Amino acid sequence: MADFIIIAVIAACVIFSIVYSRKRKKAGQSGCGCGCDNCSVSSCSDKH
Amino acid sequence: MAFTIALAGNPNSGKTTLFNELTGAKQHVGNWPGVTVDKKEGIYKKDRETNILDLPGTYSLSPYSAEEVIARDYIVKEKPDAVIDIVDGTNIERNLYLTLQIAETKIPMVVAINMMDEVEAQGDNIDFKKLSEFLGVAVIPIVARNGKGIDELMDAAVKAAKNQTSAKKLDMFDENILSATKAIYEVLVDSEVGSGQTRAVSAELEWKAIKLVENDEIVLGTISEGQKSEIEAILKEAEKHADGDLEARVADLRYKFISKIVSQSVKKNKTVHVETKSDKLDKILTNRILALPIFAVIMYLLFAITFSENFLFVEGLLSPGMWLAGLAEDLWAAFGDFIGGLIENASPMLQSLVMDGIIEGLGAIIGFIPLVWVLYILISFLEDCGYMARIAFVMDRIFRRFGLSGRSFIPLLMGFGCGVPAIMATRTLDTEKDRRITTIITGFMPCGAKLPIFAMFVSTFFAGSNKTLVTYSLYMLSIVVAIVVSLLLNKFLYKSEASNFVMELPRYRVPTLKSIGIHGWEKVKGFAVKAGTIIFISTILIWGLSNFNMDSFNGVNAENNEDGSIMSEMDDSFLASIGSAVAPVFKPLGFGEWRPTVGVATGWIAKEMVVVTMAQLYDDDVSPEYLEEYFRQYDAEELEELGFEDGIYDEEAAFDIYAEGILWEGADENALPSMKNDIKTKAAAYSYMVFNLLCMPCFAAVGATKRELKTWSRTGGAVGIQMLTAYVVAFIVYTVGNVIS
Repeated sequence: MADFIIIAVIAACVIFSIVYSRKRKKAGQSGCGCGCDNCSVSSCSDKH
Repeated sequence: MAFTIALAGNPNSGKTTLFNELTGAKQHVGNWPGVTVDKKEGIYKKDRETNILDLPGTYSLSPYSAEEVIARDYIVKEKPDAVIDIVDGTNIERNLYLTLQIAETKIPMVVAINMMDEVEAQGDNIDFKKLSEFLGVAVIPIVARNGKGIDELMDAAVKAAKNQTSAKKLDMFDENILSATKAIYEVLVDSEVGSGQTRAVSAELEWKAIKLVENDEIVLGTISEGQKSEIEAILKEAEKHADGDLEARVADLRYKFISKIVSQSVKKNKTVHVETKSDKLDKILTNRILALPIFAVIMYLLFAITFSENFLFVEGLLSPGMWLAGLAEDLWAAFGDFIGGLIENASPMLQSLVMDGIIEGLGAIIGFIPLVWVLYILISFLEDCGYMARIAFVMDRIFRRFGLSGRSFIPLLMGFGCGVPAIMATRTLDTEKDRRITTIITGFMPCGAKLPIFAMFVSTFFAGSNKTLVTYSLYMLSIVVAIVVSLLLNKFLYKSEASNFVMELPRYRVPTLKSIGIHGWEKVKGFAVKAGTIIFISTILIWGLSNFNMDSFNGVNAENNEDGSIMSEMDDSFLASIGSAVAPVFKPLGFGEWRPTVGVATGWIAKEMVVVTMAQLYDDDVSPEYLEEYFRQYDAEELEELGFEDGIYDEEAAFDIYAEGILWEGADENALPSMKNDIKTKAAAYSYMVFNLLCMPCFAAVGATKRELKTWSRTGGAVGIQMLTAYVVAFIVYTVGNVIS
């Protein structure tokens, strides 16, 4: 049971972090943080 | 009704400060020209239907650099519903030049006279009513830094957008220019009719006609060959009647008109204008002899406040950065203990994933966030007070010798924070050569994400030395390498003279807490987002790759392991196989083993990953067995002094006490045995830091490089130069270091 809960929590965290990255990317912000929020970069490797 | 209002103005006139006030955004502001290099959009916080657009600063609508083109294109082509022209009230004559050009576009506009607090402090007096009568649009005094006057400004801007209130026709050109403009306008209108367009009086064509008189190359490129020859004939005729060339004549007439406006609407306090406080400070801070030593001392103080353990020369007094770092580590350790307690009944493999993978991996960078935060806030203070602009001016003398102008130093300084906006800032440079060279050398700068690498290695390998000095030396090395590489590139690749450096030195200002707060918040948020996204996922991947191999899936590991686990020894893992194949390349640099090699590679995902990876891969170095063995040498009294409650050894507390009290102080000569087995000497450790400092930056920065250099071949070339530089410098460091030691 404990293993199941841990796997579920980690999976939820991974999904959340992917969704959050994509949301930031769509909003024109750096998808992965990149250490420079609001730097007009829409993706870590490309823009526009 | 929804409106779009654009903020335009000269560089450093306070557009972004006003944008942040209007929208509640937290865009980067700085006290130097050229902070904003791209347009940014936000929503007016008091009216959700009004969009606000922050444009890069421009001195005129005849652009010279890439970001000035962005500002002009938006105003002229995309036509916002209204433009707020922000004028620096302390420098009204020069700022009004752009105002007149925006007025010529006939786009609805409002003029905001900013920095009124400084105008009043100077004892100057501006008659806004008279200025408004001259221009035919509203003129509103504001102080963007504290929001004074911005409600009135927005009311006027929305009114201008609703009523389409543009500037009145300004009587500034002479007969010759007017007739040339009219004739060109007729040519343009005729062609519009020919293509089926309406012959209505077009403000845009009028503006184009003036621009063609000014010989504007961008507008010239939009007209047909037939029109071009007709217009050339008109201009030739007009030149005969002008004193000099027409472009200079138009500018001259605009300035004469500005003088007329200013003489009638601005009263200057002449006594104050003799020598300001800024002038007095500049005599010292930009002094030919003193400027560079002062800069070196200021930078050293910055590092001392961030990293020093003997702050203000008081033995054992931690600097604010170090104190906060300790606090963050304590909090993370408590969190780790809490999670460890929660999952104690889980299977060993999942416990390993959570504790050794995620908690250990993320914990490796959490402790460094306060250091980055403190250093970044201090650098922001220097930016906002106006000192960094002086440094660009001072560095011009040095950079010129290496074929670059002092303006290139600004992206390099920004690179101390993050490489991505720094590389984007290269578009403010005047020549293609400057832009390309600066983009390449910006990758050498020690961005905030590289700081944890230095902190980790300095505390591990240089614990007995002056740690501040070792870290400081890396920062200075990055600047020296940047200068030498730009010299070589200039000599062998781009053979041309340095472009002229003209930059307006901003006044010294006391930075507002809000602006410093924004800088700090930007940095912490960036780190948190990165930790929660790419680093979090990478920790899981690295854990997987470093704990499994092919035998995990064909039953061999399960058979061989006593507990039936399918996990492999780290030295036999997938990651070890990949790392071992590449590792020999780094043998000449002193760290040709698989773990440091993997650290370098994961650093390209995000530089913090170097530390995260090392923490995960050298986990065995601080195993509970090792710690128990190590603390056995202390008696109860000594254990109590070290932090063990009642002098009793406690496995739970041992890791934190060891990391902070022993490892950081360099008290355990045999610390991190497997790491020291891979990176054997101080020279090798310094070489590893140098390689990570100078090699290819993270993928985000490479993406920014591609955008600025335009093609993948140039980007590949830039990355190649960075990798080669890193390899050569790290090799020299390692070889020389070994000879010395």
